Amino acid sequence: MTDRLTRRRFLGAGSAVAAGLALGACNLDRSSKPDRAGEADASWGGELFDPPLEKPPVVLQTVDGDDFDLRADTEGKLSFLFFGYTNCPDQCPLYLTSLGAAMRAINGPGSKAQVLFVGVDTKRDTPDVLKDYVEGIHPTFIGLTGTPEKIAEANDFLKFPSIEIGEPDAEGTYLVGHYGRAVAYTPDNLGHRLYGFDTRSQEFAKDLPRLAEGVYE
Amino acid sequence: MRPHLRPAAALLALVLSTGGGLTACGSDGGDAADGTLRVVEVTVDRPVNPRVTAVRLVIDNGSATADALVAADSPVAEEASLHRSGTDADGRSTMEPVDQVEVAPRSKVTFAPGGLHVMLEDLNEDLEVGDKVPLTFTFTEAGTVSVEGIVTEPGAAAEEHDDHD
Repeated sequence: MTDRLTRRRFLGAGSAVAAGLALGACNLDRSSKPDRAGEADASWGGELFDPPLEKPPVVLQTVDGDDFDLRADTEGKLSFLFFGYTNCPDQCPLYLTSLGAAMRAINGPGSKAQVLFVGVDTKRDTPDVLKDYVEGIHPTFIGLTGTPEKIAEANDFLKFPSIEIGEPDAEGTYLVGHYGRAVAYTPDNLGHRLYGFDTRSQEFAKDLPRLAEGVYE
Repeated sequence: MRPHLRPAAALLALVLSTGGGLTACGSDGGDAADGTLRVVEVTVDRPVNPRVTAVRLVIDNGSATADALVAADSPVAEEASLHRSGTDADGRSTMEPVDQVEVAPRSKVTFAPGGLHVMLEDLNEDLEVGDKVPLTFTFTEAGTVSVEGIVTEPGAAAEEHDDHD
């Protein structure tokens, strides 16, 4: 019981605790799932990627219009690289907010990860929109943009499925397809782990300190 | 400090006092034993992009009638539509609009991250965690069902539904 309350508090937002308690009452008569109860501290979120990914040798632009070199500007740091779009209602907001919440909940180098979000829907993910979006999640998150070609170059270098911007319908709505996993680059400049949108903030919080030290499995 | 007893007692009191909406969480399959279709555990993700957000819910069809959700509505948004997220054959995260969501008799359908959701677009209000959002769902058989969703931090609903499995 105390574990569940601790977990809710851990997520940081006071109101989330209140909402969590209201829904958490549903769990009173549930026994813990075996994997949760037996989870060792050695467990990891996301998945190991072997051989690891390199960083795309591509220069994009920040929301302030400055160049951002995906290699030089992340050299030696713990960084996360996300491709997504700001009008994504279901997945992008989840793991971005989970990561932001985790970084707020911990101390140490893990809490200072460099988080990069590339807005692939360049028509709607303008610098202003991107800036509000990422900085609203965590003030240090970096929104990146560029030409569709440059963004595709970075995405395709990682051998991620290509970005797909759909045809607009009668109302001008269109769908955007992008890879739903973010790369975690450890200070050795290699991407050893991929994290999906369903990664919990508690999982990020456990992994961040280790990733910051260069440990990835 | 007696942290172990107090929170448990508080939660128990909460469950007993709030009745309806929360008791649906208590057991598996067909909780709406009174034979009706209900929409429960309704949450709205706090919008990260002020324009758009997702509604999470569970359709609990306790009746003997097959039904289908065909529309959703809310005064806080210009548009509300049904979508299903997924991963395509190439591994891309995708989303497709869905005309209707069928719900078999005596069964539940969960709308959770990575799957079904109601997408609210062109929000006309700032939604903060804890806010209540009026929502109306239209079913072919059950007709209109009106509920109130609670705005929660994105991901909170995912964690709850995972615990329910």
